[in-house]
Amino acid sequence: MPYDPDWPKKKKLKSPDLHQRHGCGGIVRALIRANDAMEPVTDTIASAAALVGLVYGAMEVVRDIRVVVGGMLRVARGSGDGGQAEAAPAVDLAGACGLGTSTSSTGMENELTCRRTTSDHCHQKLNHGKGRNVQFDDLPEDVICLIFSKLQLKDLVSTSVLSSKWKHMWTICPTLRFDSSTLCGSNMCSAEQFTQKFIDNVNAVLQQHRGKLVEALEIKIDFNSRLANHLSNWVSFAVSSKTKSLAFYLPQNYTSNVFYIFPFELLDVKTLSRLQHIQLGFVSLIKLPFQFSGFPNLKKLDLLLLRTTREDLEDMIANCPNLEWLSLNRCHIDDELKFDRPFTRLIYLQVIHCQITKIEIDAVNLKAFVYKGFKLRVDLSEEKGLETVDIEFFGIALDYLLTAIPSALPSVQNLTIEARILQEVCSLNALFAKTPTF
Amino acid sequence: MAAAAAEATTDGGGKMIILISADGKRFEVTEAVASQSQLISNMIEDDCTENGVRLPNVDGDILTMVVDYCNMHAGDAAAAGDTMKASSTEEELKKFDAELVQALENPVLFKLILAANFLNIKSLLDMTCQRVADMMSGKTPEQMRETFSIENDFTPEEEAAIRQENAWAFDD
Repeated sequence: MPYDPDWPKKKKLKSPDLHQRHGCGGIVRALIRANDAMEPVTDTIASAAALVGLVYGAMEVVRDIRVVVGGMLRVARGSGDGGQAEAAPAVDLAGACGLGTSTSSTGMENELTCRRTTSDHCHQKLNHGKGRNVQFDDLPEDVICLIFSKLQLKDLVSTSVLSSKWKHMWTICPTLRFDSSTLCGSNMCSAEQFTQKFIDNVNAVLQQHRGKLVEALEIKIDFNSRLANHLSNWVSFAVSSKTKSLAFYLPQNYTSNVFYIFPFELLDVKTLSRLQHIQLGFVSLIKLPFQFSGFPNLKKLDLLLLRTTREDLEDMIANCPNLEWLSLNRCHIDDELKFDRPFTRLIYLQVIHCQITKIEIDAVNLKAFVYKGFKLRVDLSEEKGLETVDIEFFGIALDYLLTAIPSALPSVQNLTIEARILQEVCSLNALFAKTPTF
Repeated sequence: MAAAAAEATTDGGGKMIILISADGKRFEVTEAVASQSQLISNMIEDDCTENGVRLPNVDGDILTMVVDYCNMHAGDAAAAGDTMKASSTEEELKKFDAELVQALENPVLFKLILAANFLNIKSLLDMTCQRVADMMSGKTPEQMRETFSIENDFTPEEEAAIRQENAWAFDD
């Protein structure tokens, strides 16, 4: 939910009650409810939020702070021009902002778009004279491609029946998103029939696209071993269709524990250098080919619930020297992740609920960082250009929030923290004595 | 907000550019506003906007909409450093965008798309194309034909054969 500066019940909270003590146990969040009224917000929460706001506000490098404590309460305060820290700054209690304030998008959805080249503006047909009624099929092909790429495949394919002019028009769509939830209909059928239906429909569509450019190919279906050969065929199709963006999202069936092993060996050198976006969800990333040459032009790598090892994950990421966008979502390796090479183009890094003990990455131009989890496992103290940092902590001690984070993120322009603070350590009185001075 | 941004640019010595529509209407905009069009931005770089930019493909009424859009969105970059400000204007921009395309008749919407494409204003092109996609989403072929005035020139047999070829797409 976006921050609402016009929230009508905005209140100033001055001189937070820092002497409030309270019982142990539970998470602060449980104590408050998001309402328009301020009443349900306890003094404790207000104090905690105010204190966090106060500490961060004193950091001269942080320009704009938003702290959400317990997922409900947002404290925002700008430290102005970075001048002297005020002794007891006023803290705006911008009130109950509701749950789920995270702005990050982690899913595989909406990520594949038809990319237009920017240099083609002078080669388009411009046949709309005054007074002439412009119709859909008067639009230039690249515009139709753009419209088509925004459609669900079902809607796209159903245009084939509109008229003879439209019969094959849909096959120019350079984006093919196969999602089993829309591709296999709503008729009840067995899991086996469902999978077969998906396979048949994908093959039928690909058949009609054979020989055409398919910039983006996306496959979403619950995985079972019957799919493995077909998935590899579809990877080969992507190779022959000069695909730039590839997404495989294969949630695992409850009854099996089998993951699809992504066939990197099928990607030839040209494809490796052509690929710009890769999204892999619920696949196994193991045994990268010997002398794997990497993805020299890959800009975006989105990895969700990968089954992999430290070595393979390091190998995969390190072989994408020009990455601009990296997301690791629930990738558990129970180990560290270290890279010897710098990622000079990386501007966006997202780490969501990963069981990774530590991430060391040199990304000198990083602008945005999104993190969800327990303690911060990523060292970004060297990334001086950070503009926005969004952090969501689950069950964190308040003193950690007050002491460790400011030193871990010494230079951030916009910092948003949403934290569910463990109440047993929420003794503000004691903490205030520990608060560092800036 | 957009006006403020435009003013700031003018105060800072930003040059004004004249855009001339197919029917001779003239629009005076700042470089910052105009350069949202990649085409005009390139022309500014090449120093060929001195005598006004003639846009023989764009009617005055369409160019009015484009200029309104660019004026409204010129503040995007200026506000980017200030997230609180940006998030409040984001709502306004969304509302403005929605209202801009909502009421348009198809031919006007398509002309606006052609103008956005010609001028290479990516965000406007994206938004207007999204509008067309939204008009098609979830519609039956019959409804799509009606929306876009498409005449069905298939015989019933031909239509049945096409439906059969991709039967899954026609399941309800």
